[in-house]
Amino acid sequence: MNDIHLTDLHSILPALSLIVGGFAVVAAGTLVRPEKRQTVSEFLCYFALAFALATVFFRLAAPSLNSTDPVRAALEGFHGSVRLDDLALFMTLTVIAATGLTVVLSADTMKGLESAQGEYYGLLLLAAAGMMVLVEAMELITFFIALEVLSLALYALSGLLRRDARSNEAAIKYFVMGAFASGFLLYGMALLYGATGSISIPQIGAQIAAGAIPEKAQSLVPLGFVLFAIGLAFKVGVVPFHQWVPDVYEGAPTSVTAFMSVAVKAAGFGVLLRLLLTAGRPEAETWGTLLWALSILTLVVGNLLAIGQSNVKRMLAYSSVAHTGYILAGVTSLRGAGASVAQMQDAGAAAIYYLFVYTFMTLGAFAFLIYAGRGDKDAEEIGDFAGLAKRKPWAALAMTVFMVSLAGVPPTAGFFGKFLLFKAMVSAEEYTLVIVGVLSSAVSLYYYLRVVVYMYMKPEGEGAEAPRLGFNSALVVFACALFTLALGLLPAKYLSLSYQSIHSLLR
Amino acid sequence: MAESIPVLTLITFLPAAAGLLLSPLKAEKGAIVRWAALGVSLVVLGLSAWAWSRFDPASEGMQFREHATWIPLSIPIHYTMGLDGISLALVALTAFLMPLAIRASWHQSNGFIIALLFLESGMMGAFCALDLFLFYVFWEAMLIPMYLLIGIWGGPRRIYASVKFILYTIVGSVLMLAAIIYCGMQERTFDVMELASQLPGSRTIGDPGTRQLLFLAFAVSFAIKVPLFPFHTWLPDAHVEAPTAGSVILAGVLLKMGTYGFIRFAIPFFPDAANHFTPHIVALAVIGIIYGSLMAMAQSDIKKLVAYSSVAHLGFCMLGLFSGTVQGVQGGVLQMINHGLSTGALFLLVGIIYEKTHRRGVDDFGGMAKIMPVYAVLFMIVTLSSIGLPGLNGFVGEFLVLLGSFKNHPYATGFASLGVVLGAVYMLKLYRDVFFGPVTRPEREKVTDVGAAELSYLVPVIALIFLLGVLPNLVMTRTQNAVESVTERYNQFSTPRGAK
Repeated sequence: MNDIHLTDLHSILPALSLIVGGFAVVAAGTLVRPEKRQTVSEFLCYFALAFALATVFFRLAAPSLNSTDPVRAALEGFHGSVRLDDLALFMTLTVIAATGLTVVLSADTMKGLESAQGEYYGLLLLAAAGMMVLVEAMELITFFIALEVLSLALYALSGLLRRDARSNEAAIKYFVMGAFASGFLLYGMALLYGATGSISIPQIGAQIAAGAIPEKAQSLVPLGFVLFAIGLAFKVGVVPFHQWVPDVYEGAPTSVTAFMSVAVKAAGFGVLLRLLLTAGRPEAETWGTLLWALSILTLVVGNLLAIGQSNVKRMLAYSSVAHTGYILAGVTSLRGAGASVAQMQDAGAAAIYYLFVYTFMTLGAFAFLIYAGRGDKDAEEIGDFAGLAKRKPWAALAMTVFMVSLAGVPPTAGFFGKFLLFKAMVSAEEYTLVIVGVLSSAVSLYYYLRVVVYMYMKPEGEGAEAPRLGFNSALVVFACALFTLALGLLPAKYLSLSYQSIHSLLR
Repeated sequence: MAESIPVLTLITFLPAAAGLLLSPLKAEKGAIVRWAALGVSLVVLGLSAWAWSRFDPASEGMQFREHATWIPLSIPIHYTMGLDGISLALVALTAFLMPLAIRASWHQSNGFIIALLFLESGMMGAFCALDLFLFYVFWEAMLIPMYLLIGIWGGPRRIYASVKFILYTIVGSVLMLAAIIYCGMQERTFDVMELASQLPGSRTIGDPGTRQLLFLAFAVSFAIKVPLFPFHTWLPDAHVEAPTAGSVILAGVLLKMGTYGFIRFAIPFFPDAANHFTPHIVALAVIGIIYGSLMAMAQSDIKKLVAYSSVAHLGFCMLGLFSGTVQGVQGGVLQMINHGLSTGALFLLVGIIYEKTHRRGVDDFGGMAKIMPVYAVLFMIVTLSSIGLPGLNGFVGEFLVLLGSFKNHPYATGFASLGVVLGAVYMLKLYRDVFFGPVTRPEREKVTDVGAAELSYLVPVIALIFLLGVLPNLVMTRTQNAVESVTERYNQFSTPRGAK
């Protein structure tokens, strides 16, 4: 009964390949001569990611259950503690995309850094593996372990620049805040376990739905959900739990920031959706109100604080907070008591589609900071962007695409993603969220355009050092720009995938 | 009507495709870029002319329709294009002004020309789109090239002006987006024609308060674009800082997006709410006419003067559109075209003298008629057209607006006719100060008159000014059906005027 078979490993194959890859990289760090370490580590990363990608596409190519139902059979493993269903597959795909692009990007920043020769790539892969298990997790312990794996890897990554005080500060801050958030999460989990006697997420949901909670434990359930939600809110940077975001984003190496801002969000929201849709439906009143208030606060505060930033990296950090707000607002529209399956599907699919789109536009923007860096510093101050359009018109155009897309102006993917989110909110009759959302996205255009203004309309400073213009970061910038446009103009393929993901949860 | 070629798709996407192809060319290849861009815009003009001649004025509904599914959501988003008389006229106006704008930007860099091409695609798409989502995509997408045109190639305060321009427009647009989504979700379609037939008597959106809010969400967005007083403050800044071609397109076409939005979306979707708000809109239009004229009178910068005159002229358009009579709406539509031509021509002319002297203050000139006789004659014709002299294009439109709106809004019309007089005052005063009298500035003696290059883009527009002055029916027969149907829709929901 308690045996674990080799076939159980199929359900975590993508994560497994990254874990193996991660250890291989660390091992290579001691076995390979220093001058070759970076090349070997990169190669191992690509290999592990390609293998993970292959397994994802292999699953995606599997036939659906029957002709009327597009959902594929989910792979369960380890007695139901993990479940590789369509949601997990889609989020895994997002994480692989983010990790792969980050690895490509890192070659430009990590060159010559001693710490890059082993642990950097290893930690990156382990963090990604943690995210993949996280989105598959079906019980609370697995969930917590996965979350800690990814968090610990990220704490170390953000402190990678050992000689940089900002990087050290970032790591400490992130670690302390993160530990605090984990405390909230654990407390929430303990309460849920205490009330229901189970750590399996579907069973918790079934217990609550069946009304099988003892009288005395009734109040534990909403409290558990709230603490749980707060813990996750810390991790993805929801206002008022966002204070660590700007400092950590600014202090961490830019490639790590890029990775954090997109991948953590994808994993965090993936698991939030799973939790709310499989177990949280009966408690919608409680977490719904909480998320509603948090998303409004996040939208307003994130956007307003971003206006005042003259450091672009910090501005992107606040913009990341603001985008958490949009996605959260989409998730909030799941709370409607009379929501039909179609409505919930709209809302959930909008949220994950936006996460997918967000990955490309944000990674692209951070990649541009590395691309336009001068000397050994990335382009961070707004003044570093002056006159770039003259020097590199195409890259500047790509950056314009990212900025416009983040602001939600058509014909980019960012617009289409926001359109889906607003559509979900309208159909859930969350009109306040819609109004706050559209107005704050109009405000956001102001600070995104400032980058465009500097690139196109200001002359380059006298005697400025020539930008770095690395090949790898250029590759990432253009790939992301292409995706940002393509996902806006021809969204059908990935859209149907995101619908299936939510569908697989609602059955 | 069996249309074998997708003419609207070509009109819309040819310029952008050309822009994409031309963009890798280096600065040394500027001549190729300019000639290719001019060629493409002429091809688009040819296609529009073909559509113009093939357009059947007698048939109701949309012509040259194209229809395909774009994004298969539960409420699918379609790629639906089509023209009725009103959009046909605006497409033709855009196609006509574009080559002129490119010709007038001959000295500009490649990026400028390419931005113009993308702008043309956006504008054409917005006029042709018959799916609300598609319309919104074009409506917003065209902001970016215009923003860059003003912000990169504009005057000294270009950054302020361009940011103000785009922020004003976006704030209006996002509210419209919310309204678009709401209407689409409630009526289960984004198709403009279906919405226009379902929404007026809709049961799902039946509450008058909600309908008025939705109307306002659309109307504010369009009013900012028109611009209707008091949403006009971005316009003078944008015009003054914009380069010549930018001003021509901004005044000639972009402002018409606003009035087009009213006549295509806001009024047909919510005729009852439109009736409800008619007194307010008419009042604002008349205030715009008087205020714009008075402001124009006080300006010493010629470009700013023309910009304020636009506020006044667009006030006439709005008065016509909300007159509730076929004549009035016809006049409003005609005035949209006329204003595009005469103000476009004015900006072209001001651009020429600015290029030659780098001045455009009224005081910087005097007695120019002696120095530039041909230019003076052309300027005179355009001035008279702008004032509304019979025989030139401006007269018929203005006259019809006043005639049409007198029935329902007699007092407003009275004040508006005052605007006609004021218009003559500030334009003739401008003309007198710049062209008559002694030469006040000796250094202007050396300025050369317009040459063949300038005439190549001035003559066509002046020819059209004469043509439409004599034969306004060229436009009006084509717009008749569309105007009648929107007026009929509007009047179905009007409260009896006698009751007031």
